[in-house]
Amino acid sequence: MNLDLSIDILLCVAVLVIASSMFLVKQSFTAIVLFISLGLVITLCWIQLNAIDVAIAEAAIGAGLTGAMLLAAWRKLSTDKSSDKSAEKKHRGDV
Amino acid sequence: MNDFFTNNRQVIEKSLIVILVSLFTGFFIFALFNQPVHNNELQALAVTHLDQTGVTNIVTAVLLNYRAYDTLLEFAVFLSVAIAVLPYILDTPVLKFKLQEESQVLLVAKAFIPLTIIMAGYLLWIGSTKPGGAFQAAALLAGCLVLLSLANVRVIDFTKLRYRLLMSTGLIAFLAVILLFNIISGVFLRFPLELAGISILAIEFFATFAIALILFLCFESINKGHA
Repeated sequence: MNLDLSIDILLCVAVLVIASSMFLVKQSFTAIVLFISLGLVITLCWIQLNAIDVAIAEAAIGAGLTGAMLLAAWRKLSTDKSSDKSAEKKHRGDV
Repeated sequence: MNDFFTNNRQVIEKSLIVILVSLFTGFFIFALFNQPVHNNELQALAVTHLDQTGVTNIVTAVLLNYRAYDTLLEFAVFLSVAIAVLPYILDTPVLKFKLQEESQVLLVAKAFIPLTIIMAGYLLWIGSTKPGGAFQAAALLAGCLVLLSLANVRVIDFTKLRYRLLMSTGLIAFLAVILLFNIISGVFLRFPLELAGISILAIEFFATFAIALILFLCFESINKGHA
């Protein structure tokens, strides 16, 4: 088996494994990290397909910016949850 | 019979889902193998007329000359996204993240941002001959802005008019170039041969800043905007 084909198969398997585990994990933080790594593996796929410009765009936008946005949203959601909890506690204390 | 269905409801539902999904997957694999062989007619056409586009990179030629119409609409879509996201930007951010003056993020930003800006300029310039172009350069610039935002440095105030104008310069420059050629030579969305290269570069230059700002705006709307 030549090297190119084995790299292709490895990339395909990696994409499928990361994508399916992204859906199977319970915590959203793990899913976000898996999404970012999926973006990086897809970047390698584009490089393997000789599309360097798509690879740059995928690395910067698919993995970098989207990942940063998802992480920001995750942080906002977790701060909202904790502030909800503290508000609840205050409410209970008042009662 | 009814008891059987109620008792094994979950199993039946799951197996139905599995059967449907595998049928769907099987259909797609079947369709994939029945595709006619792709004969690259369009690529050959694009390559033979490359000398009339003003650029030598085939991707840039397709994006900004053969299919300039698509790119024009794409810029308009970007601007619509920016308009849709702008209400989420506040004068005073809701969340405040306090970082020390010399935080690690700021140190990383100081080291990487000058290099990244040079890289973005290089990608923009090289776009006419090699893989690269406005979109990639814009993504890098937006990455710089995100890094600065994470280091708590406020570079861009989206409530100011000048940044809103800068966000629309991509579309404005494209429309201006098209109108100019329309008035001069009466053709719509076609670049004259001797001016094609320079007009594509001008459009890409303005589009880079517009797209970078819009991408950063999307990030900022989540990071520091409304909940």
